[in-house]
Amino acid sequence: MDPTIQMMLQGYIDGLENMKITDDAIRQEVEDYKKELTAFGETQNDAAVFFQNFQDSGLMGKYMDLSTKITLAAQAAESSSGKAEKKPRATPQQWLEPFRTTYDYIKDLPVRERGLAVYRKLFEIGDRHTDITEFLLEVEKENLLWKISSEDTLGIFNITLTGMDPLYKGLTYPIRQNIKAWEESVCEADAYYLQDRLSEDVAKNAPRLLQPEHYVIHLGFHLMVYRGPKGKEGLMDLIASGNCPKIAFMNCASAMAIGKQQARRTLAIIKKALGLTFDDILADEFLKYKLISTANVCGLSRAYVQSNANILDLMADAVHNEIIPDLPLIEAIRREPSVGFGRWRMPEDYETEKAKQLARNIFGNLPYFKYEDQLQNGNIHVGTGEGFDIDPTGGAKH
Amino acid sequence: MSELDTSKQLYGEYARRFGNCPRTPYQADYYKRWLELLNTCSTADEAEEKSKENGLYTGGAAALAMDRVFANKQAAEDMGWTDVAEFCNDIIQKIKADPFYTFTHTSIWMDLQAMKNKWLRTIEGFHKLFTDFLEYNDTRSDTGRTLSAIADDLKMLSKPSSDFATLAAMPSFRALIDCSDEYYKEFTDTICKAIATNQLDTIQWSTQPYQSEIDELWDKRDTLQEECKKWQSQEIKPVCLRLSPETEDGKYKLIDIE
Repeated sequence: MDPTIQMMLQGYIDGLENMKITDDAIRQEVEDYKKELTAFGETQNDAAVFFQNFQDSGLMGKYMDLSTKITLAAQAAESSSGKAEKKPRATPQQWLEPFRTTYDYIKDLPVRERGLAVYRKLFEIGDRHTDITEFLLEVEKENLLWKISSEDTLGIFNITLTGMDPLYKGLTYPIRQNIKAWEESVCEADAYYLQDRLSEDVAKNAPRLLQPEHYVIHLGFHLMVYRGPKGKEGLMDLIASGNCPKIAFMNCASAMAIGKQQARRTLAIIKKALGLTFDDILADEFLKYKLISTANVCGLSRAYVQSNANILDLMADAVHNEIIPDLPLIEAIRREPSVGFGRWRMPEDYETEKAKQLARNIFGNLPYFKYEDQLQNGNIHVGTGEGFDIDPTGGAKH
Repeated sequence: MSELDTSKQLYGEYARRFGNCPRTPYQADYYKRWLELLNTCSTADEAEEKSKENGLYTGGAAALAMDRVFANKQAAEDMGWTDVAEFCNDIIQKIKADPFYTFTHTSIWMDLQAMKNKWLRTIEGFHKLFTDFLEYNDTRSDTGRTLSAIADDLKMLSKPSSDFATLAAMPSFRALIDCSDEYYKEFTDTICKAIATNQLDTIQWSTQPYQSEIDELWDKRDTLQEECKKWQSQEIKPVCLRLSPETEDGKYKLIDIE
């Protein structure tokens, strides 16, 4: 057996052997488990993936189950033999000790402020009581133990939302639904229920909200082929130059011809599938920008760098006056658009960098950007909420 | 106030909160029973002793575990995930027989999640099939890639059925797709055809319909030179930064990158 793997396995075996086993049947189970573990170890030769394989094999779960069994059996034996002594009741301060440890660990993370406020309230109540039952009664009346989890999580989700484009509903939907679920939940079981419902709801609806943009992105691509530097713009540049190689000319003319046919087909599909005309797309503040090439430059789509501002006007002009009426190519070249000719510009790398800086200057004070490092470093595990792994993007990050 | 009275108030609060929540019947019952016990005792110590005798003292963990599973069961029932609901019901019965069942059988949580994932992956797979169709149907040119993607995505379907046509006919799956009934039919027919024949229709894009126009352009290119030069003299607008608004009903703001 690989010596590293053998050492790891011995750690688990020692762990079990050092426990006080009071039941013969459990002792036998431990012996069987040790054999199973050793046999498993013989099949492993890569320590780097050992732990993952250990988990996948179910032996890790079995180890935990067996440990619990041993502890419970020992407690039962102790209790029945009368060894268990009545322990003095904890004071509120003693009871709060684990919470103070967690608080100290996260107190410097402003991203957790909503959760931290609940901790502070808990400590403040603890300071006012010497009797544990009276203390717990006040804590329960405000449901503070649950609020440590829910407020902490709500804080993180609400901060995350400030880094997102509110019009991008396919991305914000999981976050908004998470917020709704955590606001509604009053206890752990309630959260389990709502999280399950949420997982189905988000699986169903978030992709549905993203569907319309697929059609529009296709249309934008065809319009760029028709109207852009490799289509109409390129053709006009070639003609203007007076030096017009036939192959380059034919490539551009073909792009116009193919781009036009494909754009016409996509316009028809959009009408058939979504009932939208090109003007309807332009009237939709979010959807219209899916026609042009954009790249996120800030947070979770809070700002984008994109082609020149007049590009949508140029597209609309081409769609209405050339593509829908199927204007002959020569007339499309001769025609002077009412919006000016204009050119299709794609952002250069240095312009993208400038856009990033500018966006950061504008949005830098929003909570998401103030705490971006904390969110990205994963310092987000919630206080007492067992079983909930919080993805601050709610699954929204693509 | 005596310790017993404070305890009654505390357990009354627990019973009230869990009683008001539809997901926590076992904890509600557990704390109600505690309250009943406290009402029969004259001191807190007496209540503690009695609770050890009747199992209430250690019953909280089982009540919590059963409510966790019950919440999963309720969600599964509300979503029509019958196998998950049955699995949860079975676990609840096992906890009733052995209060520490969930602590000695921790793998049930992974099994439960695996069962849920089958339902979620089916939804994801159905969405992916529609995206495959959208990508293909736009120009109907790259059928090889589409057929391969369809084959992968079909493997994700399992609950409530692994059959695409069966799922596509269900209202809950129809509701996943944002399009007209006419286009939905085109989608489902296309996928069914791909499954049956491993083939998809193609469109041969050609310049042929425009060939005479292209030839005319080539012949007259010299006469168009002045118009095209005018185009070249136009100012080129800079690319821009687009800032999202603060609210869902706001508008984007464009800033030129100079």
